[in-house]
Amino acid sequence: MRSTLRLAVVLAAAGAFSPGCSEEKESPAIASERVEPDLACNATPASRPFSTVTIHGSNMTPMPSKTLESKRELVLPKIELTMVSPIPAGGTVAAPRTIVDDPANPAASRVKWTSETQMAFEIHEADAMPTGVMAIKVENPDEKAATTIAGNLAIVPKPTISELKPPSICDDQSEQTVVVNGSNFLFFDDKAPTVKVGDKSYPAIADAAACQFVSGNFRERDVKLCTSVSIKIPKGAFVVTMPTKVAVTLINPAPADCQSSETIELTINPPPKVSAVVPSTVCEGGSQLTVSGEGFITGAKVIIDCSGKRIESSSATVTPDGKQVSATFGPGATPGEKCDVIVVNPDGCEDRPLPHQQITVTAGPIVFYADPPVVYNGVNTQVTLFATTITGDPEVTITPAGAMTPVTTLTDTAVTGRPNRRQALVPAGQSAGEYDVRLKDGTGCSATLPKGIRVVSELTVTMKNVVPPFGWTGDDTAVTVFRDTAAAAPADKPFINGARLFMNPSMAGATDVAVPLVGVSFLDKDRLTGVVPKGTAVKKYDLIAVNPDGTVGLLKNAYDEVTSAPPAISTVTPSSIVSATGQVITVVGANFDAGATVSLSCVDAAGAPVTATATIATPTGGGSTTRTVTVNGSTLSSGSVCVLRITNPDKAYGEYSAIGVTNSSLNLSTPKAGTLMTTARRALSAASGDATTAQRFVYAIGGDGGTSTTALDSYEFAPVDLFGKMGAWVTPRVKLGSKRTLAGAVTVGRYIYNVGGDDGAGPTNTAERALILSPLETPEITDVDLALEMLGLDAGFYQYRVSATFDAADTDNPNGESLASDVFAVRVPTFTGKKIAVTLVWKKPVDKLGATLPNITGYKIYRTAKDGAAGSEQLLGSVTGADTLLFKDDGGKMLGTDAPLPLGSTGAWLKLPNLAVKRSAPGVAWAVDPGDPTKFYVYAIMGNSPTPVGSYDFLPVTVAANGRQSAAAAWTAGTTTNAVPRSEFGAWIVTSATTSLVSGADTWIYAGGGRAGASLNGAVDAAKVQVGGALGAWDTGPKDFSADSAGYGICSANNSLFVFGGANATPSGGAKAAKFAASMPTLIPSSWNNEGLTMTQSRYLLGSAVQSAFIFLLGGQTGTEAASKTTETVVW
Amino acid sequence: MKQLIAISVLLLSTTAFAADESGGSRERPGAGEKGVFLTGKVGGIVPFGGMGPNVIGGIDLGYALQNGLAFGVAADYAAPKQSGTESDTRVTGGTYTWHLTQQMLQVMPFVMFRIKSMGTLVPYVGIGPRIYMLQSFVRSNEGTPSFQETRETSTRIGVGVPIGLELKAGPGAVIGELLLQYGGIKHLATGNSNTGAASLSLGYRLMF
Repeated sequence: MRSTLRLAVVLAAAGAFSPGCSEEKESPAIASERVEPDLACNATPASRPFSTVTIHGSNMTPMPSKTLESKRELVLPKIELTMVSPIPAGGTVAAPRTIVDDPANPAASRVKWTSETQMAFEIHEADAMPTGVMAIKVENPDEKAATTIAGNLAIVPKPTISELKPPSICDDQSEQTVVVNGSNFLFFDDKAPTVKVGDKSYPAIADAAACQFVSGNFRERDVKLCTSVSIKIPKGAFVVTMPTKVAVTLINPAPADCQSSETIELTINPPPKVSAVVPSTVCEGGSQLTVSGEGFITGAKVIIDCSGKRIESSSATVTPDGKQVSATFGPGATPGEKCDVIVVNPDGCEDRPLPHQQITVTAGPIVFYADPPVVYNGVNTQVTLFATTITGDPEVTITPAGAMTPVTTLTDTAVTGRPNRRQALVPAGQSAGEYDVRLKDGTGCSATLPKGIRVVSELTVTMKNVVPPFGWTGDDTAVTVFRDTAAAAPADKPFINGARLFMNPSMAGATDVAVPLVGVSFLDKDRLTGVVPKGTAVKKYDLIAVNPDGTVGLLKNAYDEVTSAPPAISTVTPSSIVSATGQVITVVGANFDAGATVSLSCVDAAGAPVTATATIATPTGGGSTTRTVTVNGSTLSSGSVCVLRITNPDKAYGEYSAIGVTNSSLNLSTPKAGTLMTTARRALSAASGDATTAQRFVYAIGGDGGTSTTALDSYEFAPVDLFGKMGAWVTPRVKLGSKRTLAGAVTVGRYIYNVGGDDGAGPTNTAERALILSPLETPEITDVDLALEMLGLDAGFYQYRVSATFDAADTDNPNGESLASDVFAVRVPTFTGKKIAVTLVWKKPVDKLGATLPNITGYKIYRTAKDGAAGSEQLLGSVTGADTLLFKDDGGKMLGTDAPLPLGSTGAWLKLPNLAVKRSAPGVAWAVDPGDPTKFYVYAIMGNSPTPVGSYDFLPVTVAANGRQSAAAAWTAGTTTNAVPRSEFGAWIVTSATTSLVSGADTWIYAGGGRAGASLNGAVDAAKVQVGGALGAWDTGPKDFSADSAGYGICSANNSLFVFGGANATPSGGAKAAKFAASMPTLIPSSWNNEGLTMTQSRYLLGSAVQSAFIFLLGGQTGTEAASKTTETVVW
Repeated sequence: MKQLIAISVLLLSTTAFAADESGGSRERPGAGEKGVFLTGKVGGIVPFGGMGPNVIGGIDLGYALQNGLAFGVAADYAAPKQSGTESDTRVTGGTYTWHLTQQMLQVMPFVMFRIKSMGTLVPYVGIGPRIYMLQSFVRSNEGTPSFQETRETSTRIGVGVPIGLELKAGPGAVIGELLLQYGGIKHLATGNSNTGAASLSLGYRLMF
């Protein structure tokens, strides 16, 4: 029993101290409806110490607790916020946050309870509540009954202001708009933040582009946070007499009405006050004014108001104390006017009180261009300033654009014959940047060209060399400028169409004169050509290239202008050598000095440089005109091309392009495809010619589309470089006089003669010729006058070119047009209230002897659109009369569609006298009169009329000292007849340049086989040109073709006659050749062997032309096309 | 709960073992010499843990041995209440009222020793673990603000000590019993308190 009692006691004691078993609570089921407001701020609102968010629902039941303890507590439903999306977007999603609620410390609690249907929580700034769109969970004390309101509350950060734009205003004269930048500027519905400026409030206007919508289940619509707003401060809102700072705060709209706390101040400025202006006059070309007063703010501008026409200062500098502003004006004011001087602070206020100070406008120069506009500060550079008028000895200064200091005074000199121009020396070492150019002339007036010169410290175009690197002051010198394509960035910029070239005297002194090159032509991104004008001062020059985009290149000591005429090479005989030692050639030209040396610059068929040596066999023999040269061609391969150079002891040299290289069998090189013509042509005429010695072209003339009935009246041309590389083909707007196919063409000097053929209706007896236009025979724009008028050009950059037109009687360019002049640039300044009428003045074009070209009827003026690129000039207008040497561009004329003729164009085709008989597919050749080097003859030999004829006609032509050619009034009918009348045959011209077997000034004309009516005939015969032009009897001694051919291309060179394609009067790709026997005109028995080459295309009725060592084969009927655009080149 | 079941089984086993020790007969003391007894009682309870006095009622069921020992299980029920008014700044008006009803269903296996040597009067004293099945109801009291009731339940174990006197009357005996009990309570509603109380009950006990 005792043990039983003991057990009972133990169990009872254990129960007394047992912790118990399960526990469970149960509150009423809770539900929520909404929160109010939807928007709150996590900082202190402007109108109350904290934000309160009320939750509406049901059964939000608190629970008394600790009721049996001494200190009882009330447990309220728990409120927890879970971030749905952060604000600002992209921020970090914060962890759920339970609203602070300590029943033991109600005063510190953020939760408030009103009833079971309404409770609330407070957001205090000290709580650092995360900002975002929140889901709100309310949970009763049983920790089971809970409800959630998703995404109905946005807690936004307080707004912050980072800057005001502008930071200062003046509202004295107009409403002011101030942009407030910052963050968290809240907009919703029609509510906007309020910006407090001092004691005044203004509604903020949102910058829609700077706002981001906040997504949530809000009652408010279009809730967004912005980073930029603006306010409008009414005129006169703040009346101040000195700069006054007022605090700016931004308050978001309630209920999230937090306000910014940054210290941001807006400066309210009073209007500036002007007390004096010095001087009391300004010049029409621009001037400087010093304005005294007070309240001037950095950035102020000065305006001259001339009866409503307002001219704004191009620059203005305010002293630190704000009591003086120095202003520079460009041109624009009209002499005689009295104008107000108005200072406008950057805050928009003009000076007060009224009236403004006044000045008077006087006459003076206007500077409109500086050439070159970009200079490199590594060398002294002569810049030409163009002005409307210059009186007395001017002073030229430059200052950094928009600044008054530092002032650099440039040493300037007059430009001979150009009273309205000055050359000014920009010294080496001038700091890089843009400069205003000021010219103050004898009138005391200053003309300012704002940003007239840009000085660069970095060369971005690298030039390799100039060819030739010298020129004779007694003549124009055509040069080619090569870019260094291996240059590293940033000096690897290419040439751009419209680039300018200048010869700047090396180590230029004050009196040195820079020389702009004329006729600058853009060949490609690596090459420019141009002409150093005759009369350039003898000295050494740096070459400066300025691209239209402002990139600059400098090649120091690039060019020497020399006193003596450099060597000039006219012919090299033969023009082709064998790839072996001991190749002897004869070089004929002029100005070969005793001690002249010879050298070669060669490339192989692939264009890779190859070394070859040459020596002059008899250094002093041959006088100044002839040298016998021995070439070691053993290092060269067939297809190589060499440019031969004769160098005088003074280092001046002349070059000949080019000598071809063949193998020991004298085989031609492998043909290389050229560029495609723009038009497919069959039975075309081909020619080659030079505009200048550095600007060579090959021409494709007329032809047809496959049959003679589709005869063409167009022609096209492509540039060719020294090594025979063909450029892109260009079709000029100049047309042939008539459609013409199956004609023959020759080039004599700069004239192309195109004879006979078929006009589409049948054989024709017509002939025509055209002159390859020279870039040196153009008008020269010499001056410009700018006038302020109501009609004129807008401010901007314009480039002009002028060409001459000729009357119908002109035998070189009837009813035609010359090439256009070099570009003349005009930078039209801003003239408030008025425009600029530009009047161009030019000189008539002259020939190489300086004589004015005859038969000028007027001029065409081309211009770019405003700020248009060089090369985009279009026809602006024209003037009539050779002596009408000016043109006024008042902006009233629309630009047309015609552009200046491209370099390589010919003049209009001149109709020559008719042949005695119609001749289709004749042989056409030319020869100098063996007794008179000033005369030559163009021959039209045989052809279809419509059946083959054996006769020939020749046209006597006289060459004048200036190179102009005058054709006789009629063709002369030859007295001899070929025994085998034929067409589609080749007519080779054989002179001493072709073979040494021809003596002196003799010329033989060989006629190859062709189409003799319905059949082919391989007859080859030759006739010698007699004094007076008649041909001797046809000698049938030359070996006939071993296989018939017709419609082939030809070349006579290197002691040989060549035939390309046309085998059996069909497209073929082979070539054959004949060699001269010991006595003219016989050919060796093995003649007309196959040359062993294969053309890139089989061709028939192709065009062929020869230029030095290059044979150009153009178009024709191919194996696949009735007419082809293809071309190819063969080196002989 | 498993703990309670184990204890109950143990006590019943002990009671059965003790029954084998019952002796011979004499004048019936109190409710009887030995045998199964059933007691009904009602009285008042005075809680010590902060709740107000209340009515308590219950029944005992047990077995008395010849040697004076008795075993049984008592079940009692009481629902003391309490209410009050408190200040709280979180609540609109700054004050709230509360009302607590603490329902207590108590089950106590016990062992008891009856002193039968006093003839018709049989004093007894017992002891046993007391199982409290507690249920708190807390809500606002009258007036505003008002809020609904939250219920909180738990089970606790305490101890009870009955001290009583049987006075033979009729087939059984009238009893008067003072019950001293103690147990812990830690509801959210009540806080940290206890179920300690003294109750005085009158009843009638039959023994078979």
